[in-house]
Order: sequence, then structure tokens, then C-alpha cells
Amino acid sequence: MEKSKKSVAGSRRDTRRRFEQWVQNPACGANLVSAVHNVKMGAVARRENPLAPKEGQSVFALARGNNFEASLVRDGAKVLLASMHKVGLLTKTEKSFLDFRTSANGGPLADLDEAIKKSEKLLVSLADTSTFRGVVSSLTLRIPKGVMLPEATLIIDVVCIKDNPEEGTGAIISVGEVKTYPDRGGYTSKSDLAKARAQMGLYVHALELVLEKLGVSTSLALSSEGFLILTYPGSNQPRIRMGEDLRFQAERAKRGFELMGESAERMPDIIGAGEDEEDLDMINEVLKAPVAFSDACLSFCERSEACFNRAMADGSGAVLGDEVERFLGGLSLSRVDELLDGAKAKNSAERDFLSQMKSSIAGFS
Amino acid sequence: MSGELETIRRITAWHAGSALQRGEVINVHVADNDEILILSFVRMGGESLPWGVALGLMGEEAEFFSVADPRNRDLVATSLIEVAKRVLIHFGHPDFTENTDETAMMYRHRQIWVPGRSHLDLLHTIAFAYARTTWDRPEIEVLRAFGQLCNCLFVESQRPGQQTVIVASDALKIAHIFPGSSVRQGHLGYLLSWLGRQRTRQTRLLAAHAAEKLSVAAMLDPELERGQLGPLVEKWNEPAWDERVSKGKKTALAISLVLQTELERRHQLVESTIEILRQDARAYNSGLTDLVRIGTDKFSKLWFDNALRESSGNIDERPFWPGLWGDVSARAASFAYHQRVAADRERVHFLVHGDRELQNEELMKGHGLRGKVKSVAGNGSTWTFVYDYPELPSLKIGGTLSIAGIPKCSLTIVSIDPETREVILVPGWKSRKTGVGPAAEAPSDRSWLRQTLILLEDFPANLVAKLSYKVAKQSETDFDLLDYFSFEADDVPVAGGDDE
Repeated sequence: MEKSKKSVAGSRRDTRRRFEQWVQNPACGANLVSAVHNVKMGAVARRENPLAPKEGQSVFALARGNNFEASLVRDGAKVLLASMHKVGLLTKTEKSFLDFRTSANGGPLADLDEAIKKSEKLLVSLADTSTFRGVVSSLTLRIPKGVMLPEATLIIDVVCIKDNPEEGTGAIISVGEVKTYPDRGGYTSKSDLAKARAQMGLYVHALELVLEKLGVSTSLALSSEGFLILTYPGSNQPRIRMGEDLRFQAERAKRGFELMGESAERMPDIIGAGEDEEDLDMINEVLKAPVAFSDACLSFCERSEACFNRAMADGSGAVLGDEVERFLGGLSLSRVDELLDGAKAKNSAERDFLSQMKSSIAGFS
Repeated sequence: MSGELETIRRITAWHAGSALQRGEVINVHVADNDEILILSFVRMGGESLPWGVALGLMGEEAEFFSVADPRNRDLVATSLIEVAKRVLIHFGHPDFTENTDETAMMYRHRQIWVPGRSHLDLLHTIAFAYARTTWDRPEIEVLRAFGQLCNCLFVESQRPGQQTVIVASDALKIAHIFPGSSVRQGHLGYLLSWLGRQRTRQTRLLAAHAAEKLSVAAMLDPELERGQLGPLVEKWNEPAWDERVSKGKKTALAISLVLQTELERRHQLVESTIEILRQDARAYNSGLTDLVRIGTDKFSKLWFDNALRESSGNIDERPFWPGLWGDVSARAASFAYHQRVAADRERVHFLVHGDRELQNEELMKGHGLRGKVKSVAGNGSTWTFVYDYPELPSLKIGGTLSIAGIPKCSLTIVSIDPETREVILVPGWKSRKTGVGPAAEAPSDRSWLRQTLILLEDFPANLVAKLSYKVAKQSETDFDLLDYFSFEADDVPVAGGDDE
């Protein structure tokens, strides 16, 4: 396939989302192709079936998210800095603010290239003599080519830069993530928190790579602890959760990048637009890749219905859940029906299945 | 539920082509109509307070409450005041019930039913918004009382075995086995379709998948928000802030009609769930009576007693309301953990003797034995019991077992020989147990011999509960490991209407 005409730098679809999409079901070939080549699964789903449901986000939730983020950085990030000072994330003297948002996101910078340039310049200066201490909104990173094919751009919601307490000199960077869902203490949704932590782990790993690329990894410290900025329930007031241990999440991201890179090694170096309207060639690349339906698909993939139907036709146990698929060990559901209707087992796997199903405790008769 | 057993059950249901009854009894309490309040919420994407609420007693017409834009906290509060009064009356709050004689000063068991787990989260966010509010507005005390009740309901909903806050989808799963993945089984419409009138596996599956497309969660379908509600809300917000209510009456009505359809569906699904459970020919587990009794006592202590104290206004007897954030210290978390373990074992204890399916689950976990009495020696003082299941019981010498169906007949384990599968047991009762059937003869009675029995491990729920109080207590020595775990100090309570 020829290299896509669409510019690599022009890709606006968040790399982080593509990576997390792949992590949801790494066993699915189509998911890998979609993530690596930046082809929206929704576009593929509707190519397959024009009536496929759209897994859109709530318009109100999107607006609320934008408003909340904007309210944090408005007036020199007054609200954000005040919350950070309140919980002790920053000291009162650490109160500077830099806004690297692009104009598309309500910020002062023209585009992602400018944001990347400014972000890299800041990192280099921090490793040198910069005395900037405070908060940066939308620090934008480009991971060196080859880590995630064909390129990767990450925008970190908030980065906090303070004096490094261990070294006594220099700065330390910690990453933060803004979410609009409410912080409900011990009852905050575990899956929401897990996703946010995974996201921050990815940022830490990306920062490690970029600092190394810039040659400042030894002179600029990177904290393995991140922070979440959530909302107070029923209000737009921020609530900060500090001390999120990201060591293992960063390691997960590192390993994930490696695995994804290995899986994607033989793929052509092309990239899609990441839009609802996509080149037919790109869509076909995804369509011809093998799929592996699992429970996780229901929560993130717009092709899940088509893949479920395919799994049904193949008699895959996955239609009854991942645990059933594992339990059956490759036995098809049509064979399950035959065996439970009295067909004779042909091999040890089938005999084992029947003995488990007909055990006196399981009680199948 | 044991994972493997649940998988086998699911495959069995798939082969049968329909939902199957789980066991011979129903393990969820369905109260009388006037004791059941059905509560459903919808919320705007990104918001944490309700956009609309449906509520009504089982068998009565539901009432619907909604606002044009839930981002207007004042409108939400005004709407929730009416909801609050009805819920507070249902639970017999002393300030909201007419009868104030002494008999009314006791908490009577009540239930609320919600369609799914996401609706429970709304109880919690309502609690955050109002339980500790300092907002100065009319009838704020109603909202505050409602916030406290919502928090107590949310806390109670986490206690294993409780029968006060019932999630309809969970209730169906307790009573039936469904041939679908666990991810899909959170959807009430999906579950009900498997219990519908279709005749084949294929038609039931199609019906379930069609039902699944309609949202029953507190969140609305994003497509509905984008297509129908978005433009209406935008229109309602066109006039200046202080003119929106007066000028937007028609738009507000249009919004409420869309929300009402959504709420109505959720409400009706819960009604259908209750009807299905009531029409079930199976008996209710007799142990539920104990769980309701315990639940009444627990919820009375958690909420009603505090409401009474608050109502009396006596500064010497101030209420002790549960916190909103969960366990904010290692000590509190440890206390809550042990309390939950104890509550769960208590639940199993009261239900397992009346339910063979639960007995199978316990056996599969190794928490019991199935076998026969081989010999009775010493005038019934010692039994030799030979078990055939499980292969590897996780029992300990000195522990006690009770005979399934007769919890009062307990036996102490003297020895276990895994080679011969012989267990020496000492019966804890001496003479015939009257009123509990023929199986409760004296331990010396010959009728026990060769009788197949299921013996279930007695888990000392009381001891675990005691342990929870022990860990909650500050150590008497200077060193206490739990002191090394710090927690974040709570924020100042937020007042309503502060985010505009």
C-alpha cells in the first residue's frame, strides 16, 4: 500500500486513546490495525453495517469537561493553583503558570507543532537553569518514531513542576490528569480510577522517553507519583487526589509499547485521519484483519455487535463471556449442545468437559 | 458464587435456551407493596445530580420530577425537595410522619428498589450535595435530611445480606441463571427479556439484545442527548439567566416529556422484576426472615436513631452520621472490612441451610463435606463420617460443622484423614431435637447411619465482628502500625449553587 497522503503531523487523534484502545483487547488483530494506523473503529463498523450504533460521548459531558478544564486554567490558573496550594502539592511560592493549549482547545498556541516545540524548550530549560516552578497546562510530547508506529503525540492535561526535595536543587516534574467525574472517596468508580492511572502511567513513560531524547534525563527529575484533578460531587470545584503511585503503570505502558511495536512490526508505515470519514483502503486494512471477540469489546468497540454475531456463527464460547471461552478450551457451543444432548465424547477434552458438567455438584442432567 | 460453578450454570442455561431458576428457593426479600418504593434516576452526561426522578410505591402510579437544565443547582434543589419529602415519609422520618406516638418512634422495615447499580451512585452524590450543606435557602432542612438518608441507604447497600436497598438486576440474578456474559447481565431489560414469552433460544437472544439497546442506567443514551435533549436545553438557555424559567415553560415541558419516557421505562422494568419474583412458584428462603430482622436493626441504628436524635434537637444527644467519603483511615477501613466479612458469613449462615445451590457453592469452596455417617460410637459421643466431596476440604481440626438444614446440630472436628476420607466428629447435641424434623434425632440414634449428609462449616461471624471492634480500638501501647497510614483531610463542605 502506498503511503497515505494524510500528513503524519496532521493527525489529530490522540495517541493515548489509540494505545488504550489497543490495550483493551490486544488479542484482536483488527483492534491492533485500527490503533496503529489511526483508523477509527466507528468508521469501520459503519462500513461493515451502516446501521451500527454510534458509541458517541455525551454532548453535555464533553461540554462540561471543556468548561471544567477551562475554569481551572482561567485567569492564570487561579483555581488550579489555589487547589494545589491547599492540598500542599505546591508551595505558595511555586505559582507560575504556562498554557500550552492550542487555539483549537481555547489556548494561545497555533497548533500541535508549536506546542511540542514550546514543551521541549521548557523541558530543556528546566534541566538547565530555569527557575520556573508551578503548573503547565497541556504539555505536548512527541515520542520518538519507532516507539509507537508510525508516530505518537501525547498531550498531558496538567504537569506540576516544583523544587526537587531529594536533590535539594533542580526541579521535579509530576504528571496530572483532569477528569470531570466526582471524587467520591473510597466509592469513586474503580474502573474510572484505573483508566486515569493507566493514562498517567503512559504519560510518565512518554516523558521518560522524551527526556532521554532531549538528553536531559539525568538533570531533570521525573516523579513516579501523579495526581488526579476530579470534581467535588454536585459542583465544579476541583478536588485533588495526590500520591498516585505510577511506577507500575509506567512499566505497563513501556511493556505495552514494546508489545504493540512487535505486533505492528510488519505493518506498512501509514496513518489514517482518525476521522469518521476515512479512506476505503484504510478501512479495508482493518476489515481484513482477524478479530477476537471478548467481554471488553462491549465497552469500547463499535464493531462489537458484528463481532458478536460472527462469534455466534462460529459457536465461540466468548458470546457467553470470557470465562466460558476459557472453560470450553476451544470447544464450540454447537458441540457443547451435541455433547449435552448425549453425543459421545470424541477426545479427552470433550470427556473432561462432560465430567465437569455432569459432576454431582454442578448437577447437569 | 463459585466462578467455575457459575460458568457451568451459564452453559447449562445456554443449552436450555432460557434463563433457569437458581436453586429451589428465592434468596431475595420482596416486601409488600406499601413497603416498596421504586426509585429511578436519569442524569445529564457529566453531571452528578439527577436530571429527573421517577418514584412511586409498588402497584401505584409513579410520579415524575425533572428540571429543564440540571446545571442549575437551584432548580435541582427545588425539584428534589418534593422527592425528598416522599422518600423521607416512606422511611418514616420522625419529622415527616404525622403519627408521633411512641409506637411510631420505631423503625419499620422498608425497601427501595432501583433498576441498576448506577442509580445507587446518585444516592451517594445526593448525599454529598445536601447531607452537610450550609446553603441558605428555603426548606434546606428537608434536603439535609434527605442527604443523610441517601447516604445511609448508600452505606447500607454495601452491606452483604442487606434487604433494604434492592438493585433489581441483582435481584433477578440472585433468583435466576442467565445465558449471557456477566458484562451484559448488568442490564435489567436484557435480563427480563430472557424471562419473556419468546419460545426459542434464538428469539430470546434477539429480544435480549434489542432490549439492551435501550438505556436503563442513570446515564441517558448519548444519541438521545445529542438529537432530542441537546437542542431543547440550548433553547431553554437562550433567554437571560433570570428569565429562563418564566420564558422557557414550553421548552421545560418538552424536556420533561422526553425524560419522563426514559424514567417510565426504568420504573416499569423494576415493577416487572418485582412481579416476576412474586409470580415465581418457588418459596422464599426461610433465612430471609432473619436477614430482614438484622437489616431492620442495623438500618435503625445507622439512620433512624440518628434521625430521632437530630429531630429531638437535644445537644447532649447529637447524631453520629456516617461519613461520606468511605473509610478515611486505615483503622476505619480495617473495621469496615471485618464487618463486611462478618456480614457476608452471616448472610451465608442464614441462607445456606435453606438452599441446596448455596450448599453446593460452599462445598465447591471446600467449606463443608458431603458423605455418610459410617459409625456412631460412645453412645453418640463420636461419629465417623466418610466424605465423597470435596477432594480437598479446607477445614481445620477443632472447627465446627453443622448439618445442612439443621443449623443447631453442630459437630466438632476431631481428626481428618484425607487418605481414607474419614473424619471423626463430636456431636454438640445430646438428645433428640424436637420440632426440626426426623433428621434431628439424638446423635446416638441408629437412623443417622449411612445417611447422606451435607455438613457445612460454621464460620464464626460473631468473632469476626468482635475482631472489627478490636482493630478499631487504638492500641494500648505506643506503637500501632495503623498510625503509620495517614489520610487526606476532608474538604470544607460545599454549599449548593456554588459552581455557576
